[in-house]
Amino acid sequence: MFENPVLRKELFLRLRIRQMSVLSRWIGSITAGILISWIYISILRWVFTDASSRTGSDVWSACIVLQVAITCLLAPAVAANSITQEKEQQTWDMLIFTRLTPQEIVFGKLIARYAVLIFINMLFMPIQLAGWMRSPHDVTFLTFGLTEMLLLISGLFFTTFGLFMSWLLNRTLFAIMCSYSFVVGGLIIITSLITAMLSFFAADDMFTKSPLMWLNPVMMTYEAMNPHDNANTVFFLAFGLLSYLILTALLVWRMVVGFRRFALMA
Amino acid sequence: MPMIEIKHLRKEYREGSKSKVALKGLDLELEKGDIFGFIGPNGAGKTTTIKMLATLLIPTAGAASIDGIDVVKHPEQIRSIVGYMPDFFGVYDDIKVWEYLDFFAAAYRLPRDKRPGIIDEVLALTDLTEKKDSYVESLSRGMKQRLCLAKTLVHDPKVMLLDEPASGLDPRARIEIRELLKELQAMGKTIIVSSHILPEMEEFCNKIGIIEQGELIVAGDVNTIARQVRGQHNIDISIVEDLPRAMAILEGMTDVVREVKITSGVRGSRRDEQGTQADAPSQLLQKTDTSGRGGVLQIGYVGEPDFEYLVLQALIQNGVKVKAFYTPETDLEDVFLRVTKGHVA
Repeated sequence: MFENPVLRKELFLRLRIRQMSVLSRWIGSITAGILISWIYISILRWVFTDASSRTGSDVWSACIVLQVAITCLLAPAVAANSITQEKEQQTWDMLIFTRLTPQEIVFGKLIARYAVLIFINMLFMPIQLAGWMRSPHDVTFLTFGLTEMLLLISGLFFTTFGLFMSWLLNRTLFAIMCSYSFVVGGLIIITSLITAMLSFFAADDMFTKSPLMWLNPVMMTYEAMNPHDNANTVFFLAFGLLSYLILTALLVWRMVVGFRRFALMA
Repeated sequence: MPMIEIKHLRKEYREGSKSKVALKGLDLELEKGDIFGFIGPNGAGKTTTIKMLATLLIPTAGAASIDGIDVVKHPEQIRSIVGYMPDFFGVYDDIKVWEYLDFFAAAYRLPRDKRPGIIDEVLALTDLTEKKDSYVESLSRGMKQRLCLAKTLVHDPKVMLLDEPASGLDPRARIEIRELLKELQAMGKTIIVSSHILPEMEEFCNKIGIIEQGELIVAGDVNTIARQVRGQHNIDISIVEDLPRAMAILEGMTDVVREVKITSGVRGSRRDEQGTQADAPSQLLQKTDTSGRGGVLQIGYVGEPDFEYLVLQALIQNGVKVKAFYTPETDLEDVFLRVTKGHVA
């Protein structure tokens, strides 16, 4: 996989700090290292020394909420410029003229952008683990596992959707707008509004049992963090996450199968 | 087998409910080693043709093959033997020249251990060796153009499709690109090059095609086309002395010589000087050169190309001292203006 030139270029060439001098790079790296270490140490010390028994679960919950917000806002954006940028800077024709297969280009772009999201989520992991260890009764293994799966799968789905929009459209701005419209407008706001309207005419538990609501990342996060009824939570989360995975696979399939044909027609 | 074979190639674009025909059944055959100059006004269909050969556009009808491989059925194979340089192209930011070439070398599946050697070779060929470790965004436009050409060469393609490779370049950069194309020609590559800079095209193209409104109006050898268009081809004859007698002899050969012009002593051709109709050559001679000494004559030869020598023979047999007898470079701009009407598809 690391022989894929698109992935290598995206990961190793685009993410590095290029035009800075060696001294500036060292200073920047050391400053960032000190800052992150200071944040970690401060939070970890607070988690393990605070008298309240809820501190661990509160810190863990705050991390998850922040990570979900980052996933919803960052994942579509980081992927939405990956192909449109090539079209805008007129490198796309040269890229698709090479002997790279559509799979290599699509997966190279997808993995590189998804890796950014994983990296950011990994930065939260020490704090998450500390919160989990401090409050093992509030944050169960199931809760921890479900939320991690939610973050990984929703991140993958939103990144793939951003990439799909980037493949479909010619302008980065439009691709970002469409991606946000779908994730924030469609999955979060529209599902909530439709379900709320339906709940006027249906039973009280309509809100939680509406299939639309189980595609809502905010609702999924809430349920994963507060598994009141373990069996139902797991079932509904499985429904939502499986839907995300199926949609991800469909989008990737559409891009790979229609890759050249669409590129040729564009 | 021709290296490039195009049969009835047609391309239509949909514009709402209407369709716009960009290319109307183009036919063309090029042999290995041919350098084909694709000439035409903007919007004539040059880029469309090149993109279809580069597998980047699907033809509406017709067929095209390169080295016997169908461009629509086997695009992967085509991309391995063809180098394509688009008319407008960008370069990746924050990437060094050698990294840029290494990326494309990897994308063309060249083995990792062979890539450094190949990169050095193409950099040397494009005269960019000194810029190997520079960032691509720091290169001048001409250098970027050469870098793109270097990228096009990394997989050693048999055929090169170059869409306006010298557009927007200053004279020095254009000369550098032209010299580079001559080197590629010497390497035996088959090249299709589109350009608006016609004098440069005639210098290294052995064949040209003039396209207008999606139709290939003429195609073939440069001199043959000039001959077809003008109904004659020019021969310059440098006379040591007795220009009037030489003119009289040539004017008498009405079956093979259509017009006789004096190009030495009179600036340019009569058409240039007078705008439209000019004086007869002998009258012009009287006006400009009464010494009767030497000069250069240009004749419009309408006979068979293999019998040009008869003109020379007639002059020598009549005692005219001929210093040189040669076919001048074809004025491609003149040919272009004669066959095109300035319309776009």
